[in-house]
This record gives sequence, C-alpha cells and structure tokens, in this order.
Amino acid sequence: MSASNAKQSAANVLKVNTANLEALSSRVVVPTYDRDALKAGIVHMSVGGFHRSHQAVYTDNLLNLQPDNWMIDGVGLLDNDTANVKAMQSQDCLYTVLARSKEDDTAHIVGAMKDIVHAPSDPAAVFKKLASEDVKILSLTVTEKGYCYDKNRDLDEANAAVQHDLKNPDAPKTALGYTIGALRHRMNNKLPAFTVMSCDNLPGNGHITKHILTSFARLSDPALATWIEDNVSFPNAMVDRITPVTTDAVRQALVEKFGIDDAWPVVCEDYIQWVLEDDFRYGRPAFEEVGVQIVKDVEPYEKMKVRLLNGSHSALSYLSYLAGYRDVDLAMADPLISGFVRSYMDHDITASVPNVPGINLTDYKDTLIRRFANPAVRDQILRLAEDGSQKIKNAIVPCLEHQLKTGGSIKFASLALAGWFRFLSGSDEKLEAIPVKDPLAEQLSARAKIDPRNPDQLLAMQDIFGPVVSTSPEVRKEIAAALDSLYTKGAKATLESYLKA
Amino acid sequence: MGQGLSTQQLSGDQLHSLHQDIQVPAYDRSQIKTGIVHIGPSAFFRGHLAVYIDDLLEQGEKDWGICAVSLKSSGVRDALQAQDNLYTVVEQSNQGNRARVIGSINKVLVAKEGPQAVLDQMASPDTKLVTLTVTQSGYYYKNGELDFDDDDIKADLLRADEPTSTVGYIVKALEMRMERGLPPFTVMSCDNLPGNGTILRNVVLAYAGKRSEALKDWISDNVEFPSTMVDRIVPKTTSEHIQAHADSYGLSDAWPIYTEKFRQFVIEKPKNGTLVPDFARVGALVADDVAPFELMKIRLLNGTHMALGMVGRMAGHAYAHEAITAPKIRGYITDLMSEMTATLHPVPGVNLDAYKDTIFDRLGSPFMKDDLARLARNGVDKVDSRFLQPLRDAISRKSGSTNLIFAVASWAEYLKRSGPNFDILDAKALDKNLPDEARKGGDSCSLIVENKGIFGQELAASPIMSEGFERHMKAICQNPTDIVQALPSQQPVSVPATGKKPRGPAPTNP
Repeated sequence: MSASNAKQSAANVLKVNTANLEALSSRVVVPTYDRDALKAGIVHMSVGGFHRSHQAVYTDNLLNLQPDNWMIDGVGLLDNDTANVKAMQSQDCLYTVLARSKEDDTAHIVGAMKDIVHAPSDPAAVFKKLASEDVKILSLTVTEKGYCYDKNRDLDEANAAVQHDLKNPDAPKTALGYTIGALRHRMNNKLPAFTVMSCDNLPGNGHITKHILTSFARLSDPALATWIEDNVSFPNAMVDRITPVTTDAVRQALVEKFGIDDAWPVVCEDYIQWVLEDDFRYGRPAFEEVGVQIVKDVEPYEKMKVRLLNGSHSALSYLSYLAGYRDVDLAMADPLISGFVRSYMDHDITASVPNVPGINLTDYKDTLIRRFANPAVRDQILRLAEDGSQKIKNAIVPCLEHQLKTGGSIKFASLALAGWFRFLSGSDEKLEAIPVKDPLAEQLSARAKIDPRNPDQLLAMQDIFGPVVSTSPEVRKEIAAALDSLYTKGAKATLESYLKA
Repeated sequence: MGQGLSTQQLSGDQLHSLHQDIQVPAYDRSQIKTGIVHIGPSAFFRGHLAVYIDDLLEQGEKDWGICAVSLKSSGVRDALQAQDNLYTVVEQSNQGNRARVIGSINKVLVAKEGPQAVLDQMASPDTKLVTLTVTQSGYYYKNGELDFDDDDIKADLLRADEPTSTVGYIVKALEMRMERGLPPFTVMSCDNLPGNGTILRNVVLAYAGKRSEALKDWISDNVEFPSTMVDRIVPKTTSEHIQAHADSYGLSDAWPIYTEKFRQFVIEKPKNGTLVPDFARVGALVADDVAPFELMKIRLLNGTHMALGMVGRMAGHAYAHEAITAPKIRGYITDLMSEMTATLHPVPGVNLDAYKDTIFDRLGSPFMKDDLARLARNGVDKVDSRFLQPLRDAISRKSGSTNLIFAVASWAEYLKRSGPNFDILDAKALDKNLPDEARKGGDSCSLIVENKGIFGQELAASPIMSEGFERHMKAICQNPTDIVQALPSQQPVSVPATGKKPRGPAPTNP
C-alpha cells in the first residue's frame, strides 16, 4: 500500500495485534493464513531487525501463498532484548515492515512469527521449543562475534561466553550453547536432528557454523560431535537487505502515513536478496516460490556481497563519521564519499570478487551505490561502524591479501583502514567523543592512542589482519601516510587528495 | 664508611663469606641448565631480566640459566669471567640500599669471536627462550620495516652462516632448529619500545623471507614473539660506583649494577601456549594485551618526565630529583598526572594511584641523577603521544585539560630558548625550524595553527586549545625568568617525609 494515503488522524490509529488485523487490512497487506492453526517449523536466534526484514518476510510471503507448518518461533538472546521481546509479545508477535525507497514507502504486516521468548530470562523455554519435533530448522543471525571463533576461525575456547556455556549447559549465553544442548537432547532421546542455517555475513557461514559447533560439542561430548556431523546439515547462505536501527521517527512515520501504532516495527530498503544452498536434511519451506535463489554453491555470491557491500559499508563508515556525517545517505550525497566508495570498489576490491553467474558486477556496484544513497532508509553511520574488528577481518582483509599477491591497488582500502584507526582514537575532528562499539574496543583504543600516527600497534593484531597484511610494509606505509593526512588535514581534504591523484 | 673493611674478590667459592648485608644465591648454580640465550647483556638487562631469572632460580626452577651473548664487545665477558659470571645489583632508595649477588648468568659468549658457539647454544634443545636488549638500533627497523640497506643486514644475507646482527642470529638459529626437527624458541624483546614483539616479528619475518619462504612460513606459524613492557632505571656503572662498592661492602666487583628499587615487567600472554619460564611466579604481570600498560606508561611516566624535564630545566634545575622536590613544580606535576589519569581506562592488575606514587618516589630519588635535559629531549617525536593525544581525549571527554595545554605551551617556550647556551637536544625540531617559529609566534597560538603536521587540525581548530595556549604563553612571557610563576596551579605540594637515611654508597656524580 502506498504512502500517498492521506494523513491519519489520531482517532484512526490502530495498534498492531490480532484483533485489529481485519481493520488494518484496509490500510496495508496483512497475513491471510490462519496463524493459530499453523505450527512453527523454524526456531530463530536471535530476533533483531534484520531477521524480521528478511527471512521472516520471505516466510510470510510464502505462508500467504502456501499455508504450511513453517511458522517461526523467535528467541531474543541478549540481556538487553527484553524490551523488544515484550513489545513483540504485546502485539501477538505481529509487526510492520516499512520498506522505503526514494520514491515510495510501502508497509505490510508480517505474521510469520508464532511466538517469541527471551533466552536470558527463561532458558528452559528455549530448550522446550527446540525439543519440539515440529521444528526442522534452527536459523541464526547472531553477528560475526556470535560464532566465538579465533584468528584461524577455530572455536575460541578461551572466550568467556564459551567458558560460561561449558560450565552452564542448562543456561547458556551463546546460540552455540543452546544449539548444542538442543541437539544433545535429540540425540539422547533418539529424535531426528534439525538443520542449522546461518544467515550471518560470514564467508561460508554454513561451513563455519558446522566447524564451530562440532568443535564446541567435542569439548564436552565427542559422541555428540560425531552425531552432529552425521545428522545435521548446514546450508550456506548469502543474505542481503539494508536494515537500519528502528528509531522513533520510523514509529512516527507509520502512525502518520498508515495509521499504524507499532511498538517495534522494522524499517528497511526495498531491495531484498537471499541465495541459499539446498541442504536441508529435514525439509524446508519452498522458498524458491517467493524469489529465493536456490543454488549449488553460494560461495561466489557470498564473497561478492561481503566484499562489495559489507566491505564498502565499513570503508565508508569511518571516513564519513570523521567528515561529520551520521547518516549514510547524507554521506553518500557528498561526492567525496560516494567517489571514494566507487574508487574503493573499482580499484581495490573488484579484482578479488569472483565471477558470479548471471551478475554483471558493474550493474551490481551501481545498484549498491544507489542503495547506500537511498535517503528514505536513512541508515546510521554508527551502525555500520560497529564491530569493525569482526567485519574488517572478513570483508576487507581478504581483498588486501589478494591485491598484495597480485600487485593490485591497496590505496583506497588502506585509507579506509586509516579511517578506522583514526576513529578508534576516540575523538572526532571537532574533538567530540566517538562511541566505539566493538568486542575488542578497549584493546583497540589503547593501541590507537599510544602513538596515534603510527599504525604498527593496531596492524600487529593478527587476529584481525592475518599474517600477510599484518606484516606487509606496503600496507603499513600506505596507512601511515593516510593517517598522517587525516590528522594533519582532516577527512574531507584527505579524500579530496586521494580522489584527485 | 667501610674504610676498615678488607676487600674481597667476588667469586663462586667465596659467596658464603661475603658481607652480611649482601644477599647471595641460595640455589646450587652447578645444577642450573642453560635454557635462555640473551643477546645484549647491557646494564639494563643485568639490572632487570637477569634479576627476575635469579628470583626464579631462588624459587627452585632449574632450567633457566642464561647464556649471555655480546655481539661485538668483550667487555662484559672479560669483567664477569674472573668472578664466575656473578655480579652485584644494588638497589638504592631513600629507605636504604639493598645488595644482592645475581647468579642467573651461566656463561657469556662474544659472538664476534665465535659465531658457531652462539648458534649452537641457540639451536640447543635446552634453549626455550631467546631474549634481547639491543636498543632500538638493534632491530634495523626503519619506517616500519626491516632496513635492507643497512650494512649489517646486507652482510648477513650474503653470509647467513656467520651472522653479525641480532636478526641474523635469530633467523639462522631458527633455521637450524627447523632443519633438525626441533621446536622453535620463543623470542622476547625486552627493549623499551612500544609493541617490541611486533617490531621484532616484522624484522625477523622480513629477513627470513629473503632466506626462504618455507623458513618464513615456519617461523610465522610456530614462533611466539610476545611483546613486553619493561621499566627500571639502570644508570651506567661508573668508577665511583665500583669504588663505593668496595668501600661499603668490602667487595671487589668489576662491574656491579646500581639501580633503583622499582622494577616492572609486563609480558604478553603467548597466543598458542603457555609462557615459559613462569615469570608470573616472580612478580611479572602476564597480560592478554600489553597495550593498556604501554598507554599508561607513555602518559603517566614518559609524559610526566618530558613535562618535568622542560619545566624543571627552565626553572633552573639540572636533575629530576631537584625539580620534583620543588613544591610548586611538584604541584603542577600532580595536577598534570590527574588530568592524564582521567584519560585512561582501568588497567587490569594495576592500582593507578600506587603507580603514580612510585613515579614520584622514583623521580625524587637522588641516586638516579636523571638529567632534565635528557628527559626533555626529542620533543617533536614525543609530543603527540605524551600531550596531544591525551589532550584530544581530555577535551572530548570534557575532563580537565589546562595542565596538559600548559605542557604544550612549555614546549613552545622550551623551543624558543634553543640556542648556543641551551641545547634542546632535538635535531628534528631544529631541522623543522621550530625554535624560530615558536619565537615568531610570541604569545599567540600561531605555532599550533601553522604546524598541523605536528599538532593536528583538531587541536589547531579547538577554541579550548587556542585560548588555553595563549593564556599560558602570556603568563610565561610576562615573567620569562621565572616560569614557576606561570604554572596553572599555584598550589605547592611538599614531599612526604621519608624514614631512615640510606646506607651504602652515597649518591655519586658521574
């Protein structure tokens, strides 16, 4: 439904819940299937914006087309998920997706989620859901750090959350801990396993999930590890939809344009993509009916997406923040930033992106630039800047390794890293404090501050940069020059000189 | 004092009969295996690492005797061999002196006289750890990489079996171990350089890459290079020290070490394994990351040193202990440290107040004779990490900054005073013509605005910075002969009373 609707008067505003669905159906698309009759065949950890704008939307579209027992039981995994879980429960797990393009806003109400529980408050409830034989798939969006891997992408046994989960198998903190516990229950009770589907931005997310989970299981129960290897499949997936943090402005827009009062709506762009390997041992929804690409090998898609989209996101976030921007679209409206992103992709990244069947990379990059610049989405620079240590390792470092090996350009990627180093020093160009959010924040900021124009301390972090980039004199030299320029001239003047050269 | 004592030669079989105030090794030195090869047996090494190892041997560990290697000079070997590689360390403080004989050095080799003996020792299965104190120049590290144009490195690459450089020895010995199927040793830099493990790793890998890719990969995959933070002031031993030593203890030691009471050692926990030997048993801090300790040190210790060096010298003092006991200067340093502390995150295992107290104690010790001009030297390289980054932190977190800004203003004044009678010991500043620029700037902030390459555009544009700087410069210029009058706080702080008088050698003038 279109935003051209007249403004809704206050009296006309309807809360999102089951009772109001029929009334809401005259304003927006609502679920047509019988939500009470259908069972949950999927458990999802952890429910945030992205799951609700992506997998749940595909599932909802499919249920409207072919009602079946593939609804989703959601799990809020983090301590501070309490408010969001309550919000969902207060509206019968219904919520609104506001998809925004430059031209238009569309809203629809998603009904795919059947129930939601808050894991830290009630771990047993999570295990109960995972024990249900109706559940065939466990899907994950827990971000990079949720996989608790070390620099070699092996399980980091020293990780505090991993240690906690080994000692507290009935009340774990990580999604890994819950998955292990649920699979142990199924093994011990001779029940079928479930498929574990990662929807995070990791290269080979299915492979990594399998490796980490079986390593985790082996620590406490080698027989379980073997059982998982024999019984659980881990399809790889590439997922894509830009989903900013939900703000009050989004709630307000829903009230004003659609007459919808939603405690936790989700806002996203109009673009959506999901490429998935067909490796579901216990069945799956017919996602291909609603536009999911089912392929034999996701890897090239994943590499293309993580390197060009996620890598550009990280690359632009730090320099944009330093240049004074807080919104992605406003940053992209500055030719210095959009020009940088294009040069970064063209000169430093594209060479390491594999050929992807049916995709023209130039078109793909054009689309990315348009998506980043989408003023309606108003993505947050700080959202993109979060967890840099995790994202850069996957999205930028492999490209730099490729460029070093082939003698390609490393200039723009090095400038991006210098932007990150400068950002980590903790204050911006107006000497305002920068909120650095990263699991390694303390370590990173100490290293950024010891000798600010010298990149050695940060580059030494092999867990992030790997052995090649970490010790490359070429990278070191480029970053040192860029850092010097950022401190001496600032981000805008630095970008200008890089684009002119 | 000590005039009546007859002088006794330090040696292994005389240990039991030494002066009663001298602590001697209680362990049986003949049972100690050599497990550590140390390159560069400087005074600092003998007053720091060798003491920690001596403590470990006292704890009953037997595998960690040291083979000390001098690359060129035979001085240490010659001095120590007549005394069974024993020497005395005297810790001097206002609470009294403490002398102990260190027994952790098993032997001393001079590499130049026999490279093969050194390589054999490094390649021995007993050797688990190679440590270094070779100063910055021993790393051949230039602009972040190994300096392949250096003559030593060029020569070593041509004749790798007879190396001359630290890097050449380490790589050749690792190559021998790889070929013999032995596990590698851990390589630990104990030089005072932030990120010393990283620097060492970088130069070793760069050099090894020229030997063979296989060797480079083997090192990269198997060798640990933990970073360390080391701290202890160990002055050069003088003939006065040697004489005083004989006078106080009746002991003839060819090369005793006179040092301060304080010592600190923070070691990065190796990623793939446990640290050997177990330095934590003897008071070293083994940490996941040394960086927060480096940050603490560079601000609270090195930053304070530079400020005290400049202000103290401009106030007419020569040595640190004189300046730090002048109440108004002490008041300023106290306030400066408070501002620095507000910019720091908690450092695991360290009580910052206690750490600051040790800094005052150390600076106040008359024994170390720390020269203020030395503390203030090379300001161009130091000002960013010591004052400017703390200032960016302080302004952005809205904590106090006036004493930090005063430190920058005092640097400008220090530059102004550069001349034939006032050597600022800063070749780079002279190259950049900074003294002239500072003089031209007078009491304005033009020095900062026009040198963004040093001060950064953020501080150049900050009203807090420019207003504060100009206010301090005006105060300094009003009374140029008495910089103490311009200090931001006029709150004098007096030195806390201390207990007993030190015995043993009196402070000496080098």
